Amino acid sequence: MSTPSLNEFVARGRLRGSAARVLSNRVFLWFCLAGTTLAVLVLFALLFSIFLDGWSALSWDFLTQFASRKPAASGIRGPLWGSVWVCAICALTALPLGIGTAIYLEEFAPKNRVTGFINLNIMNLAGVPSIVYGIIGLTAFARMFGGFGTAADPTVLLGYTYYNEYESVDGDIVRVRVEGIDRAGVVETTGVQACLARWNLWIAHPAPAGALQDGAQVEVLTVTDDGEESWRSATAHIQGDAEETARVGETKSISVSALAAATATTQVREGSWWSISLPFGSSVLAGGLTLMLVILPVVIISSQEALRAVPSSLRQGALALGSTRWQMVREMTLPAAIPGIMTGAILAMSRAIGEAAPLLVLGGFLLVFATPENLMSDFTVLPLQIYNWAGRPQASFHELAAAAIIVQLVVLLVFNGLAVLIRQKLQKNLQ
Amino acid sequence: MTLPSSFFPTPAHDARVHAVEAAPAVVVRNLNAWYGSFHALTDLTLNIAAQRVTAFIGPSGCGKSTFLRWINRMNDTIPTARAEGSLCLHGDEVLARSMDVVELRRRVGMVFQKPNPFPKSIYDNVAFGPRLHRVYSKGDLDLLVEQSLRQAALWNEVKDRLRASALSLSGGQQQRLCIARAIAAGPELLLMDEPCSALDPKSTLAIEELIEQLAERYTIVIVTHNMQQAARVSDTTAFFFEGRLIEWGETEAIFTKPTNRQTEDYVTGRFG
Repeated sequence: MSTPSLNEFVARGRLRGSAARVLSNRVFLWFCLAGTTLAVLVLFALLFSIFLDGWSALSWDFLTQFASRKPAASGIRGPLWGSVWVCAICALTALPLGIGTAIYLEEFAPKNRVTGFINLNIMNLAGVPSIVYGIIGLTAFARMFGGFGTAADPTVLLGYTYYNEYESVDGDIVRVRVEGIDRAGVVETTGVQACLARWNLWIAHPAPAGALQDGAQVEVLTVTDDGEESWRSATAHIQGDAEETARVGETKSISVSALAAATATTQVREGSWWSISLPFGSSVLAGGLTLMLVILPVVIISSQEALRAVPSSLRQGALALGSTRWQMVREMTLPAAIPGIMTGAILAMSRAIGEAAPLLVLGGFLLVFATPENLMSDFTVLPLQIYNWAGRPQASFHELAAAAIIVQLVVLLVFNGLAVLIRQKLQKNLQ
Repeated sequence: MTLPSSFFPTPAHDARVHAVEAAPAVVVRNLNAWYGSFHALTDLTLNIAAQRVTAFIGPSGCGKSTFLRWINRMNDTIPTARAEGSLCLHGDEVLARSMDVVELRRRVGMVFQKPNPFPKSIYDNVAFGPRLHRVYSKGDLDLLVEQSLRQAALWNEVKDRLRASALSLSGGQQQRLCIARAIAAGPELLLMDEPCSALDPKSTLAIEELIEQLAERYTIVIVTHNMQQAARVSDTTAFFFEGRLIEWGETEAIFTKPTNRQTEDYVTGRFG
């Protein structure tokens, strides 16, 4: 028997019904369409109900007022700025760290068992519930394993100015800056303490206050006609034992009784924009770093994927011209991977903005009546505020929660829009 | 282990070797190379003449690309690759641990099988190498880029669109751009790993003409699967088979009077 020809072999296959093929094609198409429609419908239903509830509560006052017991007077100024601060800190720490880690693992590290183990762990960390990161943040950042005292009584303080406060004869608050005080309470102008004080850098609390000297330059808290409080400088004038009174203001001198001058009533510290204390406590810095932990694995993994997608021919080309590894990364791999890295960063930041659980564990405040001033400020974030309001029994607070959700969505949109803009600009530079 | 017959000197072979050894740019002695446990190159001993074109021919997997990638230590990027023996570039031991691979790769340019222009402008592609190693004034760099593109016979085609993306060029133009990029860093030696295998015949011809011109200034080593190409462009040809150098000498002699049976079979197209 002769071998059948190739076409005879082809003809041996049973013919597939063309109607069945067309049908299965159509069924799959409908399946995909149904899935998409369902997702979009659910999204629109959510958005619709939120807008229905929250639209009436949304106003300019809502954005500029702090939270309050009365729903009508409530606003989201505190959580809005808290979210901005926390997310900025999160982005500024997580992106360099994450991208740096990805570059090291992809471009520099040898591919061996150790880096394989590290990669496996990063992938596992991406799946850890965010509340667990809250516990890590509480231990590592807010409390620093108890190694630096408590948040209320921190061991290391940077960027704080200390003042001794006295009471004037008129009842005004008089304060004088602590320049440097040794443990016995004697003012020192030389030595380590004085030097640390000059740089606003305290390793521990300054010792209790000393006495106010006659003729010392002090500051007095005065209230101007506008009702604004401000500190004005004056010269302290210690009265005898008699409780004579003197004018404050134009004369730039203030009278303090000898008794009050001898014992400072209190010692206060005032932060500057760069104040930092250890441990961090429930501050915006601790919050931002905790969110950094949450999104770091996501940033690393997406950056690694973006770097892996860069064709190796580009790396080979750069190396063959005599690039060092770093020159290759800076000039070739990183610019080519930036669009992908930015996409991952956008997703990660969107997650950070929406996180409430880890910050709740960290001890984030539910009611905050000030916007953050420095890294050590107390804070709350939009999701926490929404959680707070949504949990209350009154319907008017639910409306506030819905309005806050709208604001949160807008913030998210702005963040993502910015990232997309940056990505497009970078991509254009590459072409 | 049996040595290939080319190791037993014949008068004719000796004469060829002496002609090539006049001024060697690369001197290789007893080079062995491995990928993991795979012995990729065995006891390689040859000279590569300066200012001439040397072609490596042989069937796929015979070690010619491996050898090429040891000359500029590109095999360093492969963790399992290692080599023993001696490979000297103008007297400097390339395989030495103390060898600065960055400087080595500036001295040894490389052109790859597939054109790999960077996703940058034509200008920035050519200026990439020079910028890695030195700081130039704008005017000097402009001149250097122009000169490199002229030598790569690409200047007339791209002089009006130096800021356009290199990816907008045709395949043959891209490969010439890669050659311009390689020579802009000021190499002594140019390695070409099958530079025409991804190109159409017209572009191939352009590259071959370019190689002839470049040979006046540079030492060129070209790996090729195309026997006619080796015969056309090279002065010296080395035939590799299964990780060994079977025969090397003047191209004309290799193609017309090979001393080795395997070489003869390969160049006449009877196997490979």
